[in-house]
Amino acid sequence: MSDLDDLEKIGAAARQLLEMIETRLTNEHFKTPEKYGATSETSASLRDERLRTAVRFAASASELKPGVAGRVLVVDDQPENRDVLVRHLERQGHRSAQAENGRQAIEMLRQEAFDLVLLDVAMPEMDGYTVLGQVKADPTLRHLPVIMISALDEIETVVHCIQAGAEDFLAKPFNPTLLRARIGASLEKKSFRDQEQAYLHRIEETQKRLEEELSEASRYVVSTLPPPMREPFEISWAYDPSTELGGDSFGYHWIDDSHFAIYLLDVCGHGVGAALLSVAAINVIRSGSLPRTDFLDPAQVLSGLNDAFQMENHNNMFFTIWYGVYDLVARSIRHASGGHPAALLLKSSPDGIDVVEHLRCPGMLVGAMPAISYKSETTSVPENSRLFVFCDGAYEIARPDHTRLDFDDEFIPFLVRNGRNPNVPQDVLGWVRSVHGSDVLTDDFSFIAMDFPR
Amino acid sequence: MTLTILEDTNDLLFLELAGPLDISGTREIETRFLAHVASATRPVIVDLSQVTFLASFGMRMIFDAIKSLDRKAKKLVMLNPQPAVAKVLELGGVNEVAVISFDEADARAKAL
Repeated sequence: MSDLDDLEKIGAAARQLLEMIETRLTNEHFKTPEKYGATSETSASLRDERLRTAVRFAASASELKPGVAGRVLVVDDQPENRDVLVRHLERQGHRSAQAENGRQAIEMLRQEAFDLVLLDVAMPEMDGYTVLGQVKADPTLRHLPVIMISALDEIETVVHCIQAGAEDFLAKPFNPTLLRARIGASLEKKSFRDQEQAYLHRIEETQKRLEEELSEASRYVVSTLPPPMREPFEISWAYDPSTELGGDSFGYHWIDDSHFAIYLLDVCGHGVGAALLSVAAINVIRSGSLPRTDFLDPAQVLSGLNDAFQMENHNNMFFTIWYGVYDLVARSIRHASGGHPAALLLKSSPDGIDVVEHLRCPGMLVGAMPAISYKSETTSVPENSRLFVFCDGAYEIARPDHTRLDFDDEFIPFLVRNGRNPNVPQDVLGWVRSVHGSDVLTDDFSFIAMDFPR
Repeated sequence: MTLTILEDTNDLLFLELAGPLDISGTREIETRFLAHVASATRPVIVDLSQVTFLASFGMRMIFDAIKSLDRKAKKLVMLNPQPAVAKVLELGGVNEVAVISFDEADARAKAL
């Protein structure tokens, strides 16, 4: 910055001097002997004009703001050429380093950081064209701008260099204005490119961090799901969120020695917001932390959830839920639904054929409207029955031709046919993926199968 | 997804939705639909006969509309939903807080 300060001081002084000349000096001040072949009047006039021109140049030169300052590598086998360029560069506020041949230039470029290379075309050992080729082939150097320096008769080589990626060229002997303009333009472009790379790097870093956080959140959501169960019920499930974080969640736990709760909820949408609400709601159910609520009564649970999770207070999101309580002694399920698909009970009919019973007790979506009452129903559970609890993402499946899987004509028959398979949740997931024509479903998939003891 | 104004009088706003009310379909018309409903000081009938699919995002839009009109003591009537759409409306409990009708004259009578 001290060079810049000096330049500005010189400029200010020059402008002051110009003003003095224009106001105070007249031709009378210049008395030139006539031996020089000019009249005193014309000679004085000429001197006056030259002085004005010189001072104007000094004044205007200082007003040329130096552009982006950079570190420049000057590569030329002629010391005097390098000296001229280095002097120009330093006058313009740049820092510089010198290499006397191509090989040395490549070594320096790989060891130190530069913003620009001024590269002579014709050099012994390794010429400028070869150096340029190596720079452009190196991923760590290829974005470095290179200005070729050439004699006027080397224009063919210069054309090849431009085609090979050189930024520009300068002819010897150097014109200071062109030198300044081309270096300034190249450094400015380099500066923009560096900024762009820095932004890109920051975006990549942010994206990477968000992906890591999403993965961690996803692991947390999965960790809240209960492990499969063997005794006294066999429970298996399949869970496949459509994005990193899903809006589905489910659970099951003993309320007391003879009552077992099983529940599945589905927040509208998916992603981070849906997952947060989903986990919050499932933790409330698991911990039994709704005030004045008997968790043996599904209708009370849904009313309590509806009061606690009104959509106006939860980012305009609601959820659907199926909640059931199995009574081990009475061998029955008491259940309620808040806008959720009915659970299905697979059981054998008197003539030995498997049929499904819909455990349907419709109620409003949870959080959609305040002060809603729900109702519960009780369904007997015969021996050797199997309960399926699932979200709408398990059957609202679009085919590649945009037609949709039919719940009554396709989904139910599939469950009747395959419902006794040991790992029916995974079977259903594999089947709907094949129907969809892709392993990536458009909605979250959750499916629980529960066997009751004989 | 399209939204059409079929009738806009001092007594009634009659809208028609057409297409799938899934995530993208709902996003296409949600702002305009709710703006019409929010500015309405009269009952609203929505013809759903051309709605081919109703997902949870569409349900959220419908509940927002119901609540918006409820604050002004006005009714939302849904007309002629296709069977699959009617099933979702019923499953979500919409029939508890809004009217679902399969006849236009009936819809007009119930809207007022």
